[in-house]
Amino acid sequence: MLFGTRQTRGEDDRLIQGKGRYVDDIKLPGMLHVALVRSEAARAHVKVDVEAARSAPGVRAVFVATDLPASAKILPDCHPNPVLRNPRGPQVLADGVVRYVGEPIVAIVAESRYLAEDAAELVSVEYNLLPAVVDLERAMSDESRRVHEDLQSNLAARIPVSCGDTDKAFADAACIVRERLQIQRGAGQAMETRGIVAHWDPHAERMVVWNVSQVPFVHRTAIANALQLSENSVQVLNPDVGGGFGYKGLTYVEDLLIPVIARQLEVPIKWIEDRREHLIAAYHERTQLHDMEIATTADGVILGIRGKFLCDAGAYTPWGPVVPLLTAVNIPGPYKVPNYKVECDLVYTNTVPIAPVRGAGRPQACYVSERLLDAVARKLNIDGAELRRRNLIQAHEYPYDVGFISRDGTRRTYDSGNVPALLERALEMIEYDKHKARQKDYAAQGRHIGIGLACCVEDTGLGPFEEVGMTVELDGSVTVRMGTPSQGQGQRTAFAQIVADQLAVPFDKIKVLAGNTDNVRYSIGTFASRAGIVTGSAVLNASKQLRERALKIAGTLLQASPDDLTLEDGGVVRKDGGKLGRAMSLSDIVHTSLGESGAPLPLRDLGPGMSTVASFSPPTNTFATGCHAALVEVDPRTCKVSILKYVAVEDFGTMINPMIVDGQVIGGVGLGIGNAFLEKVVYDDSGQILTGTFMDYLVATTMDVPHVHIDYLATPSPLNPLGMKGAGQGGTIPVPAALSAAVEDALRDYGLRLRHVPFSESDIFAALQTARTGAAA
Amino acid sequence: MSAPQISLTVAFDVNGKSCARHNVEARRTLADFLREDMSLTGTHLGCEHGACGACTVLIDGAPARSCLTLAAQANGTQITTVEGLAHGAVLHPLQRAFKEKHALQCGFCTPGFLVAAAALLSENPDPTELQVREYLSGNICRCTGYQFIIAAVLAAAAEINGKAGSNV
Repeated sequence: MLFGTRQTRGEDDRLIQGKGRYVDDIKLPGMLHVALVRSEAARAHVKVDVEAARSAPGVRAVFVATDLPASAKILPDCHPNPVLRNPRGPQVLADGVVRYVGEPIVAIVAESRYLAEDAAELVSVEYNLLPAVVDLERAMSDESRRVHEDLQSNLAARIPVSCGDTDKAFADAACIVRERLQIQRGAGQAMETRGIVAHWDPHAERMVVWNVSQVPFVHRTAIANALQLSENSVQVLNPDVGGGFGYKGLTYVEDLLIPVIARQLEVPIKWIEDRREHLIAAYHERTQLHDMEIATTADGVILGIRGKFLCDAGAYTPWGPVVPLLTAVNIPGPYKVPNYKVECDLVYTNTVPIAPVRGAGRPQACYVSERLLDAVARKLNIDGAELRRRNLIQAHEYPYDVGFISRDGTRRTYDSGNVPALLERALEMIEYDKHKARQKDYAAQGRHIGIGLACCVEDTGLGPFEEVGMTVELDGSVTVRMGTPSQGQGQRTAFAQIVADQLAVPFDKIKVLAGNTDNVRYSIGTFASRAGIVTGSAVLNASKQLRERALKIAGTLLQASPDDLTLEDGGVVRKDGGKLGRAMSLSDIVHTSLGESGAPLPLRDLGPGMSTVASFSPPTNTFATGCHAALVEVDPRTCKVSILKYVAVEDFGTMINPMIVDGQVIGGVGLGIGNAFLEKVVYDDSGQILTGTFMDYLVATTMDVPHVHIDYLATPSPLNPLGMKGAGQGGTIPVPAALSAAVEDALRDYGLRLRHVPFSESDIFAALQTARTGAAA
Repeated sequence: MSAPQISLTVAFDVNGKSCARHNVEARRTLADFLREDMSLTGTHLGCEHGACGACTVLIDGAPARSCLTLAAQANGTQITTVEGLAHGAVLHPLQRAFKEKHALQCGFCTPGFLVAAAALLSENPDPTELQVREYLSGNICRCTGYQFIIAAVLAAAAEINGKAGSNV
């Protein structure tokens, strides 16, 4: 059995030798290079003069908005949602008005990137500056300027989610706590930026596009519409992709622009985003401001949660309201919240549009519910672990009806789980009781040590389907074709493990192909921790079909009942260990069933060969859960936080490859640590972005991410045949909440309160000053 | 402004092979030279401002950011890229350890980590975990959270030093 084992990855041999093939490694004869001139203003009317650039050395063409066909002027909403009252798609090239710093205005096409950038400097853009809308609360005031002048306000969507009767719950409550909780803007920042190579293939008569998409089929549709081509005249390919983290799962204006240029010029075109562009123009996430309150009994049992929050949409809505919607449905988390009412306003500002970044609205949700629980624990003087025990959904209560409609339109129901067990295991691993008991001793030694806890749920494995094609080749090797591309998750390995077990074929004889829209007929894509579950289940279904077919064909050829046969070591054997009339490998079966050239098909009733297409459609999403615990020490003089121990206990159901899942968890925690302490996109009041380099936008390094201690407790999902749950984001979601609680706990004697992430040493220092002044007042 | 560019002749050894190119623009970065002119695309560009370490190569044995180094500056040196770490078909112990310990996911930052780690082990064949962390703190990885990278470097060091039963 390879399923469930720590199989090393088939992807790695190339990548460790520098033999990966990423989009920037693709070179085509005659290829030209694009550099983009981007807006330097957050809100302005612009006039562009490109004449000097046109005649610069090596320049072959210059594109402005008016050069684009009507079908390629505005990026369509690839995921329309009726909640989004006032959708506004990004302009492919800004047409007279710019709405955020970084918005593309002009595309220069030249013989090299160097020459394209030289010419870009010759473009003159005249900015008639308008006051920018940056502050989220002010954007919602009546006096505010509007990001889109044709709209009545900056409101893009209003999202209500509720169940029960919160008015009654709060009227009956013994304890009510209110908090204003803020999460600042962050970004995915994969190590590979975005990039596109596009060319018109005159042989196949179609547009061939290599890009870094997590959703190549979505891109194919968007590109076909922009070029007014039929979908069968567009092929989207993904080579090795250097990290995705959600925000590569959307369509960007460049995804249309580059193919449009390639079509018009009829030469291969390459555009590789540089890091500065990536920081100022690739979609961000996370900015939300929550005014929330929780009502409990005197024992801390939750009666209700209610409130409002604002979500910063940025200047456009490329993926509708999905981020705040995910926050709104995830705030109750793994706790029993019988009465719940939240309303979110999605607000336009003159900033980069937002899109899901690993965690996707859930880190905010987890932060809200866990910060509220910590405040209740403090007010009622109940231990934080005990308070969570009293409120967690118990194992016997699953499947659990949360009480409202979820993101996918179904009644939100946690299919399975046992978060109380995750909590107890995390407490044991972090040695909660020991450290809690010793906190006074630590303090006496001048050490400020605290523990923080956070539990979360993640809706994973969304529908509607994925399709997989599978073929046993003449030599007995197996080819798997799928639509969900990898951005580093190790799908080639994990899915080969499933196939190896079903078809009894060695791991290295299985080739998993992805990242090519010709591979399957239809696909949705890799995001929302869904590929493992949805594509993985389709791989299982396809493998089972081929297994059944192999035994049927062998049964016919050997005059045996297929029920008496099974597959072992790449061939057919008798289940009872008895001898077969003749040896029959998978290769023999394929050879025989395909027949000989020019002769009639041998097994006419069974048809030729060993090839199939299968799909899987989950009835709804399955819920992964987790509990993280952090032990930290804080020096109140420097406000430096040291993570002494970090524990992640996860329930991802059944796992295909725990080694790969470990990697997902640890990497997720690494992003979460960045979200807690470091990662912050900053705009000034005029909408200028101040974090345009990796010296300003800080991400966690080897010095920031400690050893992560992991354990898994599995409650297999009943919603897919292998019992899997998605593992892509669980590592990230609870981290800011757990670390905030731990730091607060470490400095509890100072009255520290943390109400926003990220928080730096300076922020802790300022909060301590506030606490001191507050105490003195 | 596009100014007339000075062109130079550049000659150096890359992964043990000598190479010379004429008419190399003075402004051409070593990274672009290696990737585009030498087709050594294993060296990756993550930030082009010296912060992420993906483009790390060895110049005369010392780690350098090839995005901040001009090709002309490397004239007369010996350069090692990720493609030069293996000896023929025999992988460098770091390469084997990266695979064994699951020290890479998307693989984009991996060449920079491998090259930087190779420099570390040639300077300090038996580093502590903290020394590994400090040495690699100039390389950014967004996928792995670093833990398995550090484990891989310690495992490779143990192998090179002939230590059996590494405890990492």
